Amino acid sequence: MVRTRLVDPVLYGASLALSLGGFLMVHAVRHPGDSLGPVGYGLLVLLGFPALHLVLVRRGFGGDGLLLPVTQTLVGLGLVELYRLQPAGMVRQATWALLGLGGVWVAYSAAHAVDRLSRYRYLYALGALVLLGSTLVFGVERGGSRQWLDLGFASFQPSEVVKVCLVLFLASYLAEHHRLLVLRPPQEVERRILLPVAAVLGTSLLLLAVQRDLGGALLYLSIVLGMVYVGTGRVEYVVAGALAFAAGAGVCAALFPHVRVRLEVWVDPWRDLAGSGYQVGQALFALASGGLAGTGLGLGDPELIPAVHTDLIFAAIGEELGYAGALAVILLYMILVVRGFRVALRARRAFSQLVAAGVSLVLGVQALLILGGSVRLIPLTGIPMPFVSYGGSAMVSNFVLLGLLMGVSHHEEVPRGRRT
Amino acid sequence: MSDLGLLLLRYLLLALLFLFLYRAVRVMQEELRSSSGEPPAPPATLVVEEAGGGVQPGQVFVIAGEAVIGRSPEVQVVLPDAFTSHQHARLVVRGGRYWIEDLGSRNGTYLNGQRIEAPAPLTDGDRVRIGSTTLRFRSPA
Repeated sequence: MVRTRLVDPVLYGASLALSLGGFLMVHAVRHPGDSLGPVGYGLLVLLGFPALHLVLVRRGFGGDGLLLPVTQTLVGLGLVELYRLQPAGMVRQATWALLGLGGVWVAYSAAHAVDRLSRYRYLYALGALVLLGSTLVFGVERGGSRQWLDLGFASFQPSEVVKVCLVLFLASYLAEHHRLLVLRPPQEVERRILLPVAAVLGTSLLLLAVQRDLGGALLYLSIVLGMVYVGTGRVEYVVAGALAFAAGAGVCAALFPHVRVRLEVWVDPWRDLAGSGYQVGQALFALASGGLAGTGLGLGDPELIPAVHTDLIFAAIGEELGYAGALAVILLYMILVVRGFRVALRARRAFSQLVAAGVSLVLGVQALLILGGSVRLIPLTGIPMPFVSYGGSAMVSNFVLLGLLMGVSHHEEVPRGRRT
Repeated sequence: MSDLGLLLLRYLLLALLFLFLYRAVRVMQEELRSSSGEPPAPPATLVVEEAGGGVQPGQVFVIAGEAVIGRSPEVQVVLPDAFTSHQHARLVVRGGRYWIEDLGSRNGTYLNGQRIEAPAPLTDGDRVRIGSTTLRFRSPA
């Protein structure tokens, strides 16, 4: 019988074997003769996943047993592909993943005190605003958008931490007004629900205008509308919010050339292939040359794509592991999201349900935005591919979200057959 | 590495990736089929030793599987006592034995006199204090 609540050796075994094989293949093709030290370090970090899982189970963890192994597989694929593209970057990324596992531990433990976690709602809102504001004042510009802080030894992307704050704030706010929603007249409810929605909507449009961060704006909007929908069950808010955003984005495209170029490249990358369309065009060539089973790790040319390790690592995976590998990545994200919403459905308290739903939304929407952008389904944005793209702030923040989800899945599960 | 070796490794890696996915789907499928992946819970009781409000010493709560303890009338073990939270603690079954876990209660849950910070396994004869009620855990297993 498949025992799901404990640490599954087949899942971890397959995932570790995949990473080991991938590392060795890249080493043989790209870096023969180099030290195997980075490979050993990467594998050691990946071993941290089952180790953490075992420790948590020892301490009574009975929540979702798939979240960690699925994440390990994504991280493993990312590290292998980074080792191929930028061996030094892979080592840094592995360290971020290690820190991320610490983040899982902290968030998992914090989710234990659910009530206390929901009490600090305005601290989250304030934190989000301060973090976003800091980039306006101290931010440095990269790739046309200004969303990094330079700390000297490393750069830090506050918008990644804002995701976590936003989920916690909205979950707390909507859970608080959950009772109100049933008791009070609809006009008053609408005023209370629409106010923060309008505030976040306005902020995200402002971000789009000032920071030129199209992906971030889309992500925040999706989180807010998705969580309002989960909290109220009313689709009107979602439609109205999406329409308002579309109108605002249209105005931004008219006003700011940066946004307009992204849209034009999405519609037709071939028109200016040597210029603005170069990145998207190369990504499409990479995906095409991958075919069904890929060129093999280390045997393609994904380094021709500009910013491949941060923005378009999915195209690199698609080239070297083919359609099969790209499909597998999509399925991995689907499993994460499905499991996340399952955790939300089984949680007992409104706040926990909303946190789980919010985390699933954040991970799912990020994956959708960047995968869709990579294959030109939607305009390409600078959203990092969760757990895969190179980038420390994103890595650690996503791990914290994962830890919250695992915490909710353990502490908040309804005793079976007795749903209250 | 030879070309043949690389070719084999290439397909081996994809096979491993899909083996992982197959296993994950099997795990989910199995979980749906048997709503409980746990071995059956042994029978157990909680006997009131020192009564707080609303219960009598010697009163017995029969535990079958998982149970929430609290002041709310909707939980399985109702302790109508001012020092008890609505959903105060719960008993869960992991690996065929009972564990006690605090649900973020205001006054905490004590196992044999010590406040628990994490889920703790229960053995026959353990004393659990919740609010001003002390319960003795009884499980013949």
